[in-house]
Amino acid sequence: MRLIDRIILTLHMFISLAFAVGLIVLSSGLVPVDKMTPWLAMLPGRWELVLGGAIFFALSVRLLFAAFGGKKARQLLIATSDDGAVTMQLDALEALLESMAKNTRGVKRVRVRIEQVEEKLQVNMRLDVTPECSLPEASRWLKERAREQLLHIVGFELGRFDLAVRGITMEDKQKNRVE
Amino acid sequence: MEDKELTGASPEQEDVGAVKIADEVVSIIAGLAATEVAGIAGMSGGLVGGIAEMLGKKNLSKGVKVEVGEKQAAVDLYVIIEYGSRVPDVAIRVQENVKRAIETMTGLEVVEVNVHVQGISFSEADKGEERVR
Repeated sequence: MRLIDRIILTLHMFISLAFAVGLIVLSSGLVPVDKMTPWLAMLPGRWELVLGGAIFFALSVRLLFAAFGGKKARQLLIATSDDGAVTMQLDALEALLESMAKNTRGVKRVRVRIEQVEEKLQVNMRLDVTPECSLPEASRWLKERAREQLLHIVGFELGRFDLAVRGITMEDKQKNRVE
Repeated sequence: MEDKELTGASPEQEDVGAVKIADEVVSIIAGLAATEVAGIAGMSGGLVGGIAEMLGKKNLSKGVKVEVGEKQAAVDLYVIIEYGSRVPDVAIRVQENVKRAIETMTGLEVVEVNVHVQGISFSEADKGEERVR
């Protein structure tokens, strides 16, 4: 379960809990309905309640989407044998290469896309760099690391490696202030 | 929970009774056998598994789907592997361990164990910064 889905699920459960408590309180008569009427009369026209309802609706749809729908996960068939098949989700490999690239000095905001082409894997990497990053060295480094990781982890050779530098970011410079 | 009745008893043992094994039991055996293998960080449970864990229920059959017949079983495992492990090697060990565990404990013939790797788990030590040379 992805982290964002866990966070959404937690928020959704707290909101649902509040609704459930409200429903129990109202229907059991713990709070007289006539005391609720002035409050209910204030609801129309409250933009913040509309916003809250819309957010709750969006959270619910997101959870339904995560549970029952969404894009079919792209799978890589690694091996088959008499004992069964071994597959791996391509987005797990993509996350691995993104993590590897992000931990490389001078490389920021990485997005990776992997496709299987015949018996090899094709990698498309898009990233931002900082001003001090040497692009030829970085691209060689990233390509070699990607080749090593794919061969070691899933046993597939790297086919084509496309690297696109989207832009230059000044993040590192902003962090390192001279005192 | 659906129970499956084993009908492999010999004629002279029929009066002893029948052995029933719930599907969830086979799932738990498979899940435990899979997580024992070095290189497996855990099982991937998806949204339903996440809800169950949030409610405090330890789900030993998380990430496991089984199809149990009268004498055979097929297993699908959804796993997360540790960074640095080779998927083909780990998967073979998982298949062997799960098959052995189910066949030993239940007597069912395991016809296939499919391993689906859903993610890779990093330890803190694996997240160090690398330098470009």
